[in-house]
Amino acid sequence: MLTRNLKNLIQLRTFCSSKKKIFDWKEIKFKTKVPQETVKSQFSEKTERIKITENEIFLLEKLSLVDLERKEAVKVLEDSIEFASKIHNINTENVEPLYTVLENYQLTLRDDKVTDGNIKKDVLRNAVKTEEDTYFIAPK
Amino acid sequence: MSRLTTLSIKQLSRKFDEKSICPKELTIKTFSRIKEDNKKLNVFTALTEDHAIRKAGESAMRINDGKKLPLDGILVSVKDNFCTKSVPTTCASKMLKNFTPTYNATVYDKLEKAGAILVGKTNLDEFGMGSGCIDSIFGSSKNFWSEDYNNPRICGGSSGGSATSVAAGFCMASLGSDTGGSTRNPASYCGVVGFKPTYGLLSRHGLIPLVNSMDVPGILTKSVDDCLQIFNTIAGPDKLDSTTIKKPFNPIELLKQIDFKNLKVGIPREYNCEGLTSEVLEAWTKMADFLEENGAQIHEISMPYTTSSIFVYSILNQCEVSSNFSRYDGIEYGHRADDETSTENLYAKTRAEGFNNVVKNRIFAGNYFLLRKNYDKYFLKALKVRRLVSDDFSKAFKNVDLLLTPTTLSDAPLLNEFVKNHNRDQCAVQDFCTCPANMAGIPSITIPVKLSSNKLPISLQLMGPNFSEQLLFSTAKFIEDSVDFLSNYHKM
Repeated sequence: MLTRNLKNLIQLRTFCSSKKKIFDWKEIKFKTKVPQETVKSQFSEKTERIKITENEIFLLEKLSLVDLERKEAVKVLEDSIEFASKIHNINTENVEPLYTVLENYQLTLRDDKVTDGNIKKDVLRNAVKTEEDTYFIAPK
Repeated sequence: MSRLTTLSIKQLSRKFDEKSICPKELTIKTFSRIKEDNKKLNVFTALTEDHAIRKAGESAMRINDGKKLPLDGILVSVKDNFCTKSVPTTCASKMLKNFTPTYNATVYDKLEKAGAILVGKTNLDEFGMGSGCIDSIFGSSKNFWSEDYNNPRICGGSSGGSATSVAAGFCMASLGSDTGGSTRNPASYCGVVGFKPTYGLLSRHGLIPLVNSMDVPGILTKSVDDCLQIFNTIAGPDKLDSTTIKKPFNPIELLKQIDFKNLKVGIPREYNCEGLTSEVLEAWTKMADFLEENGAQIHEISMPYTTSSIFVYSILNQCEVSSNFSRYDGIEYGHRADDETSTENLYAKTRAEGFNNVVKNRIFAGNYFLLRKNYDKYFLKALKVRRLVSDDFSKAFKNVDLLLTPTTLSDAPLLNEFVKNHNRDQCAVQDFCTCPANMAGIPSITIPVKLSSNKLPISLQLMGPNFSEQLLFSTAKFIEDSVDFLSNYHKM
C-alpha cells in the first residue's frame, strides 16, 4: 500500500515537474523535413487582362442591381478577372467538377408536407412594410 | 487589462458545483469588465446583458436544485451571422441592421439548451467577406495582444470578434464560421484554439450563408478541451439542414495516449509559400521535430494544387455570393430603401444602400463569371481545379494520418499596414494555408504555440481526413500541453 502511494506520489511529482518544463524552441534534433526555402507554385503565374465592354457593364449592372461607381467598379472587376485567370494555366482535362464535398452521400429529403404553420407574424415581422400585417408589399 | 479566469470549462463547472463561484456573480462581474475593456477592443455588435443575467440566475437555481445542465453558467459569444432568436443579427451590414431573427441557429440552440449563456454577438467583416475584421459597419475590432491600442494589430477575420472575445476572457467559447479560414485565421492571430469541423458535422441551419458549399460553423476557445466539449455539445445531424451527415454523432473522447510509433505526419512543402515569415517557419520546423522526437514519422510531401486554392476560392466565393445575395431585396426583411417608383428601382436602391463595396464588387464579379459565355471558362473550370485540390488531400491521406502546417503566414499585421491592400489581396495572403481545407471539406484545428518577437501569438494548423476529429483533437491537446501557451495569458 505504502509503496503504491509512494509510486503515485513520484508519478505525480514527475507529472508536475514535466508540466513546468519549458518548451525548448531552439533545439532541433533531426534533419528537418520542413522545407526551409520558399516553394514556388509549379503553375505559370501568367494572367490575362480582359477589357470589359460597355455592353457587359450594362448587363452586369442590370443583373447585380448594386449601383457601383462605374470607373472604380470596372477596375476592381478587371483585377478580379485577372486574379481568377491564373487557374487557366492548370490542366483539367478529364477532371470532373467538384460541386459538393458530400457528393458520395445521399442528402436528406423531407416529405413534401407542411411541417409548421401559424407563424405568419414571425414571417412578416422583419418586413419594413406590410399590408394589414398580412402581405409583403412591393411598389405598385 | 484584466481578464477572466484561465480555468477550463470543466474546472469552472466544478467551481459552480462546489459553490465557490456563483454563475450570476460571475456574469455580472464579467459584464462590468466587458463594458470597460470593450471600449478598446470593439468586439461586439450587440451585448445581451439582461438576457445573460436572467439566464445566469436560472443556471444558479438549477445548480442549487442539483439539476445542473452540462454548460450551465458557461458564458459564450456568437458571431453575428448566426441567427439568435429575439437578438438582432446584422452580419455587420446595413442590409440586416434592422433584422431580428424569430428562431435560433441550430448550433446556438444546442448551446443554449445545454445551459450556456450568451453574452453578445461578435463583430465580423460584412457578411464574413474579409480576413481582418475591419470591413464592418461597427468599425474594426482590435487585437487583444496589440502592443499599442492606438496603433493596433488586426484580429484577423472574418470571425475576429469571436476570437477576441475569447482571448480577452469575455466568454469561455465562441461560435464563428469558416468558409476559407474565417475561424482559424483570427484564432491564429488572437492566440486561441480555432476548429473547423468536417463539412456536414455541424448544422448550418441559421448560419446566414456566404458560400454554401464551403461554409461551416467553427469553434473558438482558450483550450483544446473546451473546444472539444463545445463540439460534442453541438455536433450531429439536423433535420433542418439537409447537408448534415445523417449518421448519429457519437461524442468524441480524447485518446488516452497517442500511438506516436504509428503516427505519420505529412509536411506539405507548398505551405512554405511566399510571405511566410521566418518566425512561423521556425515554429513549424520545431514542432515537426518535436513530434518526431516523440516517435512520430514525419514525411515531407507535395500537394501541388495548394497554390491554386485561393484563385479557385475567389471565383467560387464570388459566384455563390452573387447568387446567394439576390435574396436581399428589401421586401421581406432587412433594409428597405425609400423608393417606391418601381420594384426594380426599390431593389437597386436597397442594395446600393445596404451593401458595402466589398460585397457589391463580389456580386458584380460573380455575375461576370456566371455569364453564359464565361460559365465554363471560370465557374466550371474552378470546380474542376477544386477537385484537384481535394484530390491532393485524398492522395496525401493514403500515406499520412495528419498534416502539420502554419495557420497564418505571420503574426497579426498592424491595422494601418493591412488596410493598404485591397480586400481581395488581403484574403489571398491571409487565407493561403486555411482555404484548401474548405475546398476539400476536411477538419482542421489551429493552436497557438508561442509568442513572436513582437509578443504576438504564432499558431500552427493540423489537418486530417474527414471524421478524424478524435486524432486531431488528441494531437492538438498533446502539443498544447507541451508548449503551454496558456501561461502567456497568466503573464499578461
